[in-house]
Amino acid sequence: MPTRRPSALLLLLGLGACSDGVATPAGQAPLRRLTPTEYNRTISDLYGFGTEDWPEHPEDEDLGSFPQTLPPDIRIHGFEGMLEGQVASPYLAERYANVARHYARFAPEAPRFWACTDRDEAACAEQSVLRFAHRAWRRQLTPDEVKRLTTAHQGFAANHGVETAVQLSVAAILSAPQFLYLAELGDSATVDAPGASDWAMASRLSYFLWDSMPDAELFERAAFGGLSTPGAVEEQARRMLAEDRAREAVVHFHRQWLDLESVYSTRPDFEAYATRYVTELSDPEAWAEEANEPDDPFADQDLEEAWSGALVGIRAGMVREAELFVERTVFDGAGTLEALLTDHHGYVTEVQGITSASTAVIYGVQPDQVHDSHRITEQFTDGNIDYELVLRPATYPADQRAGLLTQGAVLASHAHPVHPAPVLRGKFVLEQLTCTGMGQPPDGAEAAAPPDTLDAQSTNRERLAAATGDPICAACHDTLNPVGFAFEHYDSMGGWRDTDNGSPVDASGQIQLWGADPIAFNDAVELSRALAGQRRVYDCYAENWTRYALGRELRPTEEPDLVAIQDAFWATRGDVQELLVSIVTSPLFLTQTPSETPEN
Amino acid sequence: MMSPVNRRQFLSALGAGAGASAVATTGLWGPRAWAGTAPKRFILLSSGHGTVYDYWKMRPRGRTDRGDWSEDLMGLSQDAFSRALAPLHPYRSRLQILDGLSMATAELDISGYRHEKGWLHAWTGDWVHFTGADLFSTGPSLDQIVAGAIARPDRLPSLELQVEEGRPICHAGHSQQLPLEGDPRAAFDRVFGLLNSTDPLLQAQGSILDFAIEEYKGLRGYLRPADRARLAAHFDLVRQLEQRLVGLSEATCDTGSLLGLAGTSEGYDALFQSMADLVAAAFSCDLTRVATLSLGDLPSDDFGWGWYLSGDAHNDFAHRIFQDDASAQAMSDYTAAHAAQLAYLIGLLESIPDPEGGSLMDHTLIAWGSELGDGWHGYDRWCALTAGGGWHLDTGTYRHWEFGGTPIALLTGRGRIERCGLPHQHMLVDIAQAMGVGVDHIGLDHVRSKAGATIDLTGGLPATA
Repeated sequence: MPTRRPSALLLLLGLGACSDGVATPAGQAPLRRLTPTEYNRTISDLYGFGTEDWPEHPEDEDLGSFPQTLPPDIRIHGFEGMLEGQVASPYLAERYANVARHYARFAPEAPRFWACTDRDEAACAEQSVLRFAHRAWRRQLTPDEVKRLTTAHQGFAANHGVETAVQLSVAAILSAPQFLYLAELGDSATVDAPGASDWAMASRLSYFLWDSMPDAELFERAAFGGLSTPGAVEEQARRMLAEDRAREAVVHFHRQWLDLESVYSTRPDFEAYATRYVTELSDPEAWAEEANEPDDPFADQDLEEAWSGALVGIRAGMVREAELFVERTVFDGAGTLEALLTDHHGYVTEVQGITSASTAVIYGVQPDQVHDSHRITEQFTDGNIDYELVLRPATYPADQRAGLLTQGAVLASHAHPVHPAPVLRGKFVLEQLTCTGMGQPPDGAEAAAPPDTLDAQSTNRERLAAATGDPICAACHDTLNPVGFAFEHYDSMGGWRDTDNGSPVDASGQIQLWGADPIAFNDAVELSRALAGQRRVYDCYAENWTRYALGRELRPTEEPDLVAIQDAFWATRGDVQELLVSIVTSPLFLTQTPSETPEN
Repeated sequence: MMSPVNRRQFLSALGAGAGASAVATTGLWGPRAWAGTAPKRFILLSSGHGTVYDYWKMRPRGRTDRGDWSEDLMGLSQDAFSRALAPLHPYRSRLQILDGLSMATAELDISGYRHEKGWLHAWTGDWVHFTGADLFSTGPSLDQIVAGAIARPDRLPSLELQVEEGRPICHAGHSQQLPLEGDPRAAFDRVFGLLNSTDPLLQAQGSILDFAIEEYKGLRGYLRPADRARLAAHFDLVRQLEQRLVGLSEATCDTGSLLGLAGTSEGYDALFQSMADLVAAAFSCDLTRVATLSLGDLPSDDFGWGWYLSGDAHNDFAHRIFQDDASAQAMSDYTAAHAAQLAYLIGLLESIPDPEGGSLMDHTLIAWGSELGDGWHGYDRWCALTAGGGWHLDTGTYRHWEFGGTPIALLTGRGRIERCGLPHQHMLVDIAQAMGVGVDHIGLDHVRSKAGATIDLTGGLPATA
């Protein structure tokens, strides 16, 4: 532990850091760009405005102050922030320039900007700009960087007042690659930038566990070489996991892993579901009569709008349910992957908007299964209309629900408008939970799929089995279909059903995982419980997290380190927080440098 | 500090002479007169609330709703033009009026959000991405696709403008909605303003990017080759951006009297004209080759119906077009008001000589459509037209395709229909190809109807004989 603190200025000038000897070389992680999420959160931490306290845009209040939209990454395995998914485009370059300018306007007012009190003094502005660069670039500046920045700032100050000069310098700092990228200088840079590896470690930890920049304690550790042993890294990781931002970061991982937001793009059919799940619409004629003048020929569209309004709330409620479930399970509950896959508690949502709706109807829960005392109320807007979401903890029937796979968000986002989609559900489970890549369907596969109409003459399972019986189709569908059929008890919105087209639902099947005996099940609850006992599922989950932590694909030579992480995860019976600790203390994370450098 | 408003002076600086409109209406330069090496330009014009089909369509010389047919517009008198399109009669030689299209794919997308889905499908031809709070595109819009093919590297690739509250129709790619500029002065700044701007951050943008590029050079020495290449790819684009800024600040273009533009924004028509003038000036100096004008709602006074109902076009008129003929007439006049604005734009571009010969309009293609088919949110009758593009399109024609050829069920103002008109993607393809983009589809290349039929969306509009 350090015993003395160098002054901020000494640090900036590269004179103060003590290098206590680097026990673990930190290597040099491949150059990854901040994701839009990370960019905005970093700005928030740099400036120190609360989310609600951002001042209005000085030029145009309609623009909104925070956050700003940035071009999204291409998602790899469902995740942003992956090296392979980060390309640059002309629009991206222009947008970054504009967003840097936008945020720069707020710098002089930001609570965390000024390093000194004499704001009108040239020296104070200069010192603050240098300190800002040090924080924004997340490390000690090299002497060359100090020189260039000082020159640039003095140039701005010569032509403008203090405030404008500060804004210009901040725009420049935010446009530089040191801000936009997690740019590690590597071990070879120690002459220019002492302790480069410790600074790099601080950012690796903070962007993995918080989706944002390091806090003051991490910076202090980095400045004193206090992040150079696995023990020190572990200590910081445990401290960080106890903070609220870690909850949001863990939820963000699951949001992407489960592709939760795709539920927003689903198109449940009005005739199939509106009357069933939205009480207000259960009698369309009565509704039309009440909402419109009698004999209104346009009631169809009004009904559709009402249905759409109800769906906004239902979808948002389903996403929030999954997010809350993950957060509470990982941080306040059992904390394990097993619980994520088997726990039959959830959150029912009631929505008040233009149309009120409740997911309780979809989940078929009775009032005594809903716990009103722990309800959570959130505001939500779809841009035009404000909604109030009320989420209440609920206990679902244990023979109908088991964990994330049987929650509304996952079920509804893998469904066709009228009928559920066993192929999409099977593919999702195989790929996201067991890391079994199924590839893309061949040309013509889509055209051969059964039509998604209300007038079907058989069960969904029968129709799909018939459509995929051809040996060419069967090559993949023999694997996909049985897993997907496990979810046949859930309709396109995730509601439970005992019959399909008048026949009892057959949700039985089997799943064959690599290196394991086939597992038979009668329904999705049994499947979920079985998956929760499979090593393969734990290995896959750990692999997803590891890849996410590194922001890149793993190389074959890295397998032994991955296996060590997977062994540890299995040994804890799937403790998620311990998994994150074991990832950051793994040689993969500590040294980062891939043995083969990707050329793309 | 602004010089007095003097648009005429600006037009005269561009060589249009004092009577721009008068010159224009005579059709001084006919279509196809110049098809040489002059740069091609594209304008996307999008308005709200669709139109009223019965007041928009034309049935010249005994034509009916049956069959696919086309008619030569040159033979039509002013009286033979429809009420909604009457103001465009003087420019009929440049028009291609497209009757029989539908925005069918929007109907197959998520429930509700009919305006929003419409303005995304109209110009991207692709599904929407709904985040739970907003709708975004899943692909680029037509203007961006064209800009990607024809932009000059040292100039603005495209200009995105709105008049009042225009819909966000410009998209660079998945979830990349481009901001629309509605303030003529800010729009002017983006095109001409690097030297004239009063915003120090904008003025210094070149220095800011210079700094970033220097930092990139300083950093790259520390990086491994693969990372160096990744960073180079990004900062080459930053360099291009800087090059564009330099190019724009050094472009030779007489903007002296154009400064006055910023003041001419009283009222919808004046605002539209300011934006149109800006586009014409930008084209004339080749500062950009693609522009979008997204037109927000017209106040009822502006299309002559303030006496009937005061208030907004949306609820007072658009929603009532099938209930009340007065509202239908009002919304036809609403379309006619936009048609008059388009006529102004065509006239303006005709009146300005292209430095390469002919007029600007001879090398410009304008596409006009709406977010919806009709005011009651139907997608079934999507009324669209093009102006210009005579080097590729069969201009001076009215083209009709019989309704009902496509088996997609649409919700309309008159109940649900099982078959609709041609998916509008075919029009987008025609336009892209006219602008030299070598594609066979824009957005979706096929969709499936609910009944399972596969509908091909590739290729341009079929012949109408």
